[in-house]
Amino acid sequence: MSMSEGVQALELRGLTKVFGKPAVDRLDLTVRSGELYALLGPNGAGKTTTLRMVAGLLKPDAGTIRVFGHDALADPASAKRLIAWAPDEPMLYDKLSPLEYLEFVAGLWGVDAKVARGRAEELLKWLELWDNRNDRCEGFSRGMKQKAALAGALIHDPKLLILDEPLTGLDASISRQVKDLLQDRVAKGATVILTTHILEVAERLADRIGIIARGKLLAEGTLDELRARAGSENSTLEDVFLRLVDEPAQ
Amino acid sequence: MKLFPPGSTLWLLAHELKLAMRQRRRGNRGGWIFLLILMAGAAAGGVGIAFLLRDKAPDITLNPIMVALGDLALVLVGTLMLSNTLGATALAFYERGDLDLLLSSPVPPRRVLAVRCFGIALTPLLFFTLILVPFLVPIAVIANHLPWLATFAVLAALSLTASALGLVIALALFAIIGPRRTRTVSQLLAALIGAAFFLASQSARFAGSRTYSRFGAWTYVERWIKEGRFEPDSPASWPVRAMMGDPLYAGVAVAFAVLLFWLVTQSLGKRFAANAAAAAGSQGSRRRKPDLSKVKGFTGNAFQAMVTKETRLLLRDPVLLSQVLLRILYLLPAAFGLWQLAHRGGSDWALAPGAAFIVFAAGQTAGSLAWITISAEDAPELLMCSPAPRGTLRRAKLVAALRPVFFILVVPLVGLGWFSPWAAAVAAVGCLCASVSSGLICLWYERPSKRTDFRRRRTASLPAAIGESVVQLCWGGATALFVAKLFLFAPIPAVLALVILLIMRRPDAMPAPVKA
Repeated sequence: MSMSEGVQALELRGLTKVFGKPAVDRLDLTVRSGELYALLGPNGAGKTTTLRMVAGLLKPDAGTIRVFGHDALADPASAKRLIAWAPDEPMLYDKLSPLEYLEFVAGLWGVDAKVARGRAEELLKWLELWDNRNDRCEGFSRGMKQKAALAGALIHDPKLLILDEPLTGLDASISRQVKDLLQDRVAKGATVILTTHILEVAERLADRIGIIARGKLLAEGTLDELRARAGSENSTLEDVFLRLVDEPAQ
Repeated sequence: MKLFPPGSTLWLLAHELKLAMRQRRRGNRGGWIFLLILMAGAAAGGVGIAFLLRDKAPDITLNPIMVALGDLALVLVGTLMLSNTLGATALAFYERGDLDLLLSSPVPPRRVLAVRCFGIALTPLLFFTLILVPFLVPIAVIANHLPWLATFAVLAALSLTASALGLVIALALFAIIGPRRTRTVSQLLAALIGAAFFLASQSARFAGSRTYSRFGAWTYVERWIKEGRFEPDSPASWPVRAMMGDPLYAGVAVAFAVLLFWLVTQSLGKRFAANAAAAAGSQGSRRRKPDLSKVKGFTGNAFQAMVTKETRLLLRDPVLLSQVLLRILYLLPAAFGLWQLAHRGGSDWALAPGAAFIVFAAGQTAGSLAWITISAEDAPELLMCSPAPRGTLRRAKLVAALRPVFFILVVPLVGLGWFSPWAAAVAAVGCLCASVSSGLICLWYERPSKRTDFRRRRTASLPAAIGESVVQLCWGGATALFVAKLFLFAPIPAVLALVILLIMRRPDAMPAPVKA
């Protein structure tokens, strides 16, 4: 795992978003460069809202967002150039083929045509979509759509990859492919932040885990650190998660 | 809901109506305002006619003109209803909603189909009823023509018949051309049927009628009246008799429609379920294009990528194809009339209306295409999280929308140029102005929507829709006046169009310059 010294991949300070009541409440969070960070939390905890603010899709009510040192609120274009956002519902065009989709996304990020062409071929082959490269996405299964969207997220070789529930609805084989791909990206120096309800995935993949509830970060650290904090060294992440999430309510 | 046994037709119908009501409540304000204006106009007309008829004898006797007008009105409403129900029925196979849930339940498919078709029939019926109530009720009450209220029964019969026919046509298409093409062809057919009345009314021009009439089909109707085809004792009078409250004819009309609807839905229920399943399956079997062994088409430029993407999506959109085809069809009678006038030694004066019509059509087409590219973006979040400047992307969308307009209009413009290069040049400038104006209004009044909302686009923002139409009319008027070489008056509508654009302009929504 490569870790660049000094600059953090993501720094959130006092991040706040209110939809009637606070969805994200003065959140401080740091994700180091080159790590795979899993953000966990119950439904409505503020995970997706946080990530949507980082991706530039929502404007925070207060706080700062820094992506590799770039102020994402003052200079969103610089931050966006480094980020890829892959939500749980793939952002695809049903009437385009995967190849056409990648061509479009590469254009949006201004990737040099020659470079993009090579990457598209590599990604589609890696994700086993090469044989379907000229088929329209409307005929794809959910897993194939998810893979096409993931290829789109990776076409500009992002330094920070943000995935919201990337494994939802995928079968075991595609799920394995996606997990392998994420680990490969991290090995090559990219930073990955993902949310998931499948705690086993976080347990196996993540370098560090953050647990969020009611818009606040309850705890973060490696699995061992979280176990220690929960006071049970032999517990599973599920035990630790449930104990930490229940804590503030008690 | 609890009034009816669960799973019964009425229970299902109540469920369907509840969903429809909630959908309507979420409808946009513009649509309701438009409907209220229409209703107010109908009420004004109805009250006026009611006072005119009050002094007349209550038993107005039928005459050929009344029969002809009544029949024409029914044909017009019937084609519009059939267009609506055919489109909706075919889409019901694809836009599934709760269809999978219903068809996987123990409720018989024919019951599901009957309720769904009834819901489809209700939509146009409700619209025409809302328009007719303020028109017809004053006539019936003030002028004491209560039997005329039977028109509503005829309208209901017409909508049930249209729904049944729409289902039969959709299922026939499904059987003949398969699930994938049915979606496109049914939309095209629905659009053609919707325009059928207009096209038929213009057919006199194609036939080169010497008794040229501004009202086209009326030429034929006049002839048929003279030939005695609309006599009060002819079969042509039956629908009008039913509308005027003759119990026999009204009863037969309603009974026929109910029987047809029942027969069709009961006999085609299983076929409907099978087709709905086939429609779902067809999504995964799109024919592959010839293999392109090399990856190509990458540009590295956000503007170019957006134009390419939008062009591809436009070309692959069946609803859009039908709309564009309609614009061309609408142009044909005008073009033919233009040709006739010019061939008879028409002056620039004679060419002026045709040139104005081309400009208006250009504006309309550009407005439709711009709405699709700008408002109906499928993946808005992808664009928002990309570093490409918003202005660049919006400008690219505008270019993608306007480009096809010029391809479509090349033929009529060249035709115009054959008779008068001056008229063609002026019309080309007018087309440019009208198209760009429509595109800009779409940009300024962008409302994120789904492509399936295309037909309701004008009700999303009433000021924008009215402004767009007025601006197009102004450009059309300016073009006509310039073509007629009335240089003193021609700038007036052009300036008016510019003033309206300035008033409607939203500086914060202006596209940014394209980055190299």
